[in-house]
Amino acid sequence: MGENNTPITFQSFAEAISSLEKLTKIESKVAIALEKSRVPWKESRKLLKCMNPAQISNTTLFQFMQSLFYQMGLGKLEILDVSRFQFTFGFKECEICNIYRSQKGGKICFLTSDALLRFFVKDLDLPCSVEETKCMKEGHEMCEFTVDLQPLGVYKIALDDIDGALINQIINKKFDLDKFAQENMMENQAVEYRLQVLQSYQIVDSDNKITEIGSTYQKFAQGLRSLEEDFDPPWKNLHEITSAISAKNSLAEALSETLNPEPFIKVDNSEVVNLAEEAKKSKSFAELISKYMKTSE
Amino acid sequence: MELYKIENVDFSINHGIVSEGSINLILKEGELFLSLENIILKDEKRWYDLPIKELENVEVISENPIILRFLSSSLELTVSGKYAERLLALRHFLMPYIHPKRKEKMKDSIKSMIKFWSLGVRNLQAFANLLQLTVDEIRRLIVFAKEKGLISQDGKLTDKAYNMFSPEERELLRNLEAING
Repeated sequence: MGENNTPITFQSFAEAISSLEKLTKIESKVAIALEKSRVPWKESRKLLKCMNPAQISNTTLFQFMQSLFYQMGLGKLEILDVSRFQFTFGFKECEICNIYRSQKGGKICFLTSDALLRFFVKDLDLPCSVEETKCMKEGHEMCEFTVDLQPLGVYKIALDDIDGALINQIINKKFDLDKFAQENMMENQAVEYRLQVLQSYQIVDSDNKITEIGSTYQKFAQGLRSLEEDFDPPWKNLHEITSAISAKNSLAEALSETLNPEPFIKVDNSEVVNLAEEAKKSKSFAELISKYMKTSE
Repeated sequence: MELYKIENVDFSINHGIVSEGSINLILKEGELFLSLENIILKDEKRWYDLPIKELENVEVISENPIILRFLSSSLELTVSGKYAERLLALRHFLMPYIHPKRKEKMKDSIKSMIKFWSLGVRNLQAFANLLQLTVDEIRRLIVFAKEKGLISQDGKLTDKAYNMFSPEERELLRNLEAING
């Protein structure tokens, strides 16, 4: 049994299967929701440039995520913390915890971790790892998840052409804040904010001098930014996503009854080959093959 | 014992923990079941079980079509089926029993380190900042990568390192390393 985890406990086999069926329904909704939720980089960029949870809460992308994850049936999403390559999200009213009613202790929301992972990787194009760090089953107020972003993926999306021009001028020692603001038709404050973002990504140091990471990034930035596609963000079709989730849910229920009309059966233990034991007793792959072939005859 | 049917599946059984390129023992058509303590597979003639307590990991090795790999210390089962949500739900149902995170994290860190290596990053502190690890952890990762033959003694990435990535990523990394000498 794995470290850090309490074995799942159920009052009965029926309760265990009921939990599995509820997970399957949520899984169907997650699949359909993620399929239709690809986000353009220009929107992901706004999220990546946020420096605190309040800024993130105000982005349309985060508000879309709240709606999407709620419709998947995973609970109410909140942003708790943000640092350079990490977000911490919380889920209140976590449905996965509700499914495991008899469970006491342990972190059990693997489906939620996986849904966050798939959303970040497939829909935001941001490679990452996700880990549940707190769970309501451990007595916490909400389930918490850290999303650790791969820096290369962040650099690919977070910085735009204006940032590229800014970095170029810094490298060539031609950067002048007033002039840059004027050339790009923006307030000085906006340029200062961009510099802060570059500092937070360690592209420039606290004196706005280019770093090793910054010069490496700039060598390849042009190629990476050229991969950007422009398309409508998914919240323009939120109604379509909502309808698809409802339709998929009804279809999954219908299919479940049709394909698995009598899912419960009984089998005598003596009829079953214990594969793990057989494999342990076999000294080689060839020996296991031989045993397996005999049992198949 | 009482069983619940998950899905009609194709399955194969392999001996031991085998890496990429493992030999499928036999690909069979059958059915996948769950009991309170076991994963059960059935083909035309027999029932086979893998106790849940023996599981070390359940991985998704392909999303479309969905293929799951159940790993124990002594064997692996590979299972594919038509309805992805059923197999994914089973995976999530079983995951609380096991804890493979540490191994996955190590693999992720090595892959990230290799990507930055191909970009020409060599400074330990820069690596540490980029990967959110300590300098000591980075030093150990580099030693490990050299011991495992991922980085050659003259500091070049080896074919073994490139083979950790998809063909597209591999090509990009080779180009980046060539540019950086």
